[in-house]
Amino acid sequence: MIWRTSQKITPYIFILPFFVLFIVFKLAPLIYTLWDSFNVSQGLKYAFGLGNYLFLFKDKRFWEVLGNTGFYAVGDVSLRLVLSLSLAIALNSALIKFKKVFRAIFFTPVLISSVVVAATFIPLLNERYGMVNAITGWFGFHPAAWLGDRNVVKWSIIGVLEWRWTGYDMVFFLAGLQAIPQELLEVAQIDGANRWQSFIHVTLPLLKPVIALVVIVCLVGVFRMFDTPWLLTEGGPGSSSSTVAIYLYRNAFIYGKYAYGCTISVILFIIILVITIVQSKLLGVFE
Amino acid sequence: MSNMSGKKRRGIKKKSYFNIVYYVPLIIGAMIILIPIIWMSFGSFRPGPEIFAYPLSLWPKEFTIRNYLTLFETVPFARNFLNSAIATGGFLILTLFLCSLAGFAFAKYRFPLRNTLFIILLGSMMIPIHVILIPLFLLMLKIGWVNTLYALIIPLAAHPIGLFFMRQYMLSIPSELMDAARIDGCSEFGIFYKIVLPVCKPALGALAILLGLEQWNYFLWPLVVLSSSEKLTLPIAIANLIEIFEEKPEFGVIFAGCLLSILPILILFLFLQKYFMSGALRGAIKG
Repeated sequence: MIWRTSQKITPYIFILPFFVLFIVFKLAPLIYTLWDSFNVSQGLKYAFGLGNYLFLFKDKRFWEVLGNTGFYAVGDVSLRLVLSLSLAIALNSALIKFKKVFRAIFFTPVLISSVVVAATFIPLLNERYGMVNAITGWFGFHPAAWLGDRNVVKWSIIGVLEWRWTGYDMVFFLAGLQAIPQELLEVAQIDGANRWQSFIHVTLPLLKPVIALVVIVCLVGVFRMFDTPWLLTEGGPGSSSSTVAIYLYRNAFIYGKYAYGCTISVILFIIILVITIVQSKLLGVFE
Repeated sequence: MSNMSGKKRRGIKKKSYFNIVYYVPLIIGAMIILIPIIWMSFGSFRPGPEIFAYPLSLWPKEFTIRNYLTLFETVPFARNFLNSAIATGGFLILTLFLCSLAGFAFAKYRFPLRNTLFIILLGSMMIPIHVILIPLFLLMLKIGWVNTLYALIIPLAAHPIGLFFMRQYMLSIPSELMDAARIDGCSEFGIFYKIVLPVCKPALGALAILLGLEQWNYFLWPLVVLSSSEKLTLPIAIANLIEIFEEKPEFGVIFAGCLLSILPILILFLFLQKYFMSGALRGAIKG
């Protein structure tokens, strides 16, 4: 290495522009969020304390949207794991032709913005005229109010999420499956394992890191989720399809309750933090 | 020997059986993915009422470009398209430059505080925009960036995932290459600009696709920070189209906007499929 004095300050100059923007537009706002979440306004008086947090824990709406988000998380994660893993296995099979075409088709929804997805599915899910009810009608089902019925709407949103993201997870599983050495599966077959047994005892354990990754990406995505339910139903009917992020947006930008919005932000941040820490622990164990 | 051929024959039988087991769900799945997209695309060429009149037909009975004319008459759609292009292009140029410059410092220089700063960056990857949404908006108000494209470019440019992505790639560049240039009298910035950046082209391309797609489809932040119709980007413009035309119901006009907004991405995908998928893969693993 050849060192000059200027070289000592060079790296700082290189990271300076990035860090200026990082501090101004990320770190400082983060600290502001934390600080503002303790600002309580009571009429004309301001107080500093845990008031917003106490209010939040008693806020039934908040628990409802948190429950909804949990419902999406469980439903979405489990369905996505099953669907995308089966898809990847089918597409990884040596017996299938046109693999590239199938892969491209299943990946296409990932490219489409949530707004376009919503604009397409609102009429498709229309109770009276929609294509989905026309198709379920063939099988003798009554038309359902996919986006207007409290008991159905969360499932409809999960359905749209599956449509959009299955191909995304598929890419991870395909990469995971292709990394499994073929010899291992051959050894299992020589030992007399059938397809199902070698899947359970060879493939699945080797896919654990990928499964952990997909679960985390999916969970973090669901806990941040705003676009899809906002565009399809604005969180309705009532707040039966609302999420934490929608509740945050409503409080801050529709009701103008910035401090309360910041409190919700902090809770959301803690949830995502916990998920991510659990992720790094899990991935650490598997590696 | 006879045993072997017996196994082989059974294998062939299994093959054709598994073909069907794989192909039928794959084709049904591909149809579920494609039909909404095709229906939406053709729907943009249908006269308004026809979309709901025949819920199960994909092909328009009557081709019309009326929807496209209405689209350009009612909203400044060309302007919105340009805004999206500027927001995405400007964001990409700034972000790629900052991330590769800072990533270069982290990958190829040793300096005090390097590891501390890097850990702060890694930690900040899990801060979603939701957590800083409110202070960031208030900051934009203060500096007068509300309703400008600056707000979509500069605050988002310090992208920790981008920095990490570039650093990982630059770790693999041999330091001898840099030392040779130093002996030739090249400045430190010259080394970065003339030697390191050209070597990083594949990483820059993959990152550009990953971040560009995110920015082109970005919904939440533009929704908060943009308001006048002249300034909107495509996703927000289309969300407004849904509000204007949903009740009429003139979904054809909404679909016209949708198709125009996804067309550039779909065309890029057609040519750069591989990079889209590998970008998604690497982005999520790092994130």
